[in-house]
Amino acid sequence: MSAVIEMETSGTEDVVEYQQTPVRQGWKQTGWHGITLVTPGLWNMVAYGGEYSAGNVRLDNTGDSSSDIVGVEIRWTSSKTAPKSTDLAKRVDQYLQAVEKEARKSKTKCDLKSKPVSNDPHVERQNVQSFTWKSDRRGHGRVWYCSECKRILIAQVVSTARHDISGLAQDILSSIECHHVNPAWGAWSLYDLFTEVPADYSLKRQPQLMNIYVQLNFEQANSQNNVSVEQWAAADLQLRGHYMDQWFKAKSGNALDGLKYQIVEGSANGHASICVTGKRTGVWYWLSVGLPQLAKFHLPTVHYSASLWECPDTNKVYLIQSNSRKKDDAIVKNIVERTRCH
Amino acid sequence: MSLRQIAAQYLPFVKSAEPRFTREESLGLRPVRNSSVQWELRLTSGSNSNAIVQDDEDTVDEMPVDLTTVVTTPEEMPVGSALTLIVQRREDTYARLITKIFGVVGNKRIELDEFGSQIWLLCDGTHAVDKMVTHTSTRYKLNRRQAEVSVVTFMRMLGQRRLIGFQNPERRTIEHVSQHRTKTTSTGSKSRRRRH
Repeated sequence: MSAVIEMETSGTEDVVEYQQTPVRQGWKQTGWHGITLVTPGLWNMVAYGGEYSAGNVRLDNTGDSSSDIVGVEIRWTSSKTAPKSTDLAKRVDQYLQAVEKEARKSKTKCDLKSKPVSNDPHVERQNVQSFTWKSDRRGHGRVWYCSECKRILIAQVVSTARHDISGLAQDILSSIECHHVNPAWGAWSLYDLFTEVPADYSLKRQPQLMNIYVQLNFEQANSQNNVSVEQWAAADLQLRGHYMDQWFKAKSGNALDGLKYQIVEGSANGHASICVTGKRTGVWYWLSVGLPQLAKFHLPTVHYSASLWECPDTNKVYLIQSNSRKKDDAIVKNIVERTRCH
Repeated sequence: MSLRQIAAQYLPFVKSAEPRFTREESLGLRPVRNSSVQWELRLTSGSNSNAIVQDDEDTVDEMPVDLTTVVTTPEEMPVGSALTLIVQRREDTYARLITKIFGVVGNKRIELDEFGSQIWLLCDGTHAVDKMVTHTSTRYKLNRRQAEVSVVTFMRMLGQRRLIGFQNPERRTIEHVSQHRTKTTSTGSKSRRRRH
């Protein structure tokens, strides 16, 4: 895997240029609303908000025992038309003015710089601007408009003032991709879970974050088709003394009521797995789920498909489930292939 | 020590302000077990009396677990076993009265799961919370952040039940430790199981 890094050019002092460089070892990829970036392995997502059209995400190093917090913040807004270069420069200036105001309040010396970036390898990015600031903290950032995903992105790496993080910031900022290589898929991740789901599926509700459990729920636009990706840590504790089908039944509980299903053995990412396919029937299902969906002029999602596997390398259990109106086992299979477990 | 803290020592209706710690200070605290709490080994659900025992060379043997063994370190715990904490009840007049009124019999038993048992055994005053987080994330291959949340939540639960106190190596004091102030409750011997 390779990424790009920005370097000062000797010829033109007011412009920065990109260079290819490999991503550091031990770093991990994070994805959210189609945006992916690579950060140190111990960094985790600590805040997120909004949706595909406008939102934000923050990752920082609170996962490690370091006392100095270093993090990356990304904000995005959609814009159907490309903003002028002056508009983006204006946005950067407004942000830097706010930083300066804060610095003045706290009576700290403030140093601000912003420059346009040349030779960006991403041809779809327009008006790329780079900026740095230093007051009681230090920030390295970049802003651009992407003509592919039609979004304006502002990303910055922030740390305490005493640490020079320019190298780290360059590696992180240049690893940011604002859209997937394959426009049909979108990347999502949370803690150690990294998966990809079809791009027309969006986050249905707030992700569940428990001590050893992570769940992401997605729903397809203009239909009630939904997909959930779940991950349990400490698989050795979870599965001890149980076969996977027993564990699946115990975990699913009432969700299997009214579902006529069959379980077959299979493989997922090189591990033994169980694949569950079935169809929901019964009065209770139609009253609680089927009829409300029909009332919204949607065909009920009667077809169920799931895949469950354990990854002993990472000591995790993964469960991917799909409820769809048409029988479609391929979606679970495709998501399983795109879910990284080791 | 503030006037309020001094007053709180002698006057039960004066509550001393809880000490506030930064994240780094919290991770540096060393949990210490309440000396009045005892524990015993038990098999977890899904295990049988021939529980699997993993030795140092990562080889797996099937050996009978001796439940009378006194386990003091996480390494000594056989796979498939967990601890049950035995909280001794107070034996003063007030406690005897409450016991008579509510018909509470015997000591309070708290069943820990394997994760909780490992953490409990590390609460010996020599391991900082940070070390426990590292131990947990390594042992269960957990994301460090998730391990920290799990351990800190568990520590808070143990602290609230006064099963542990926290030794602050910087201040050389023990916070929230009450050796013989284990609460008498009306829940009888009903055991509680910690869930994740």
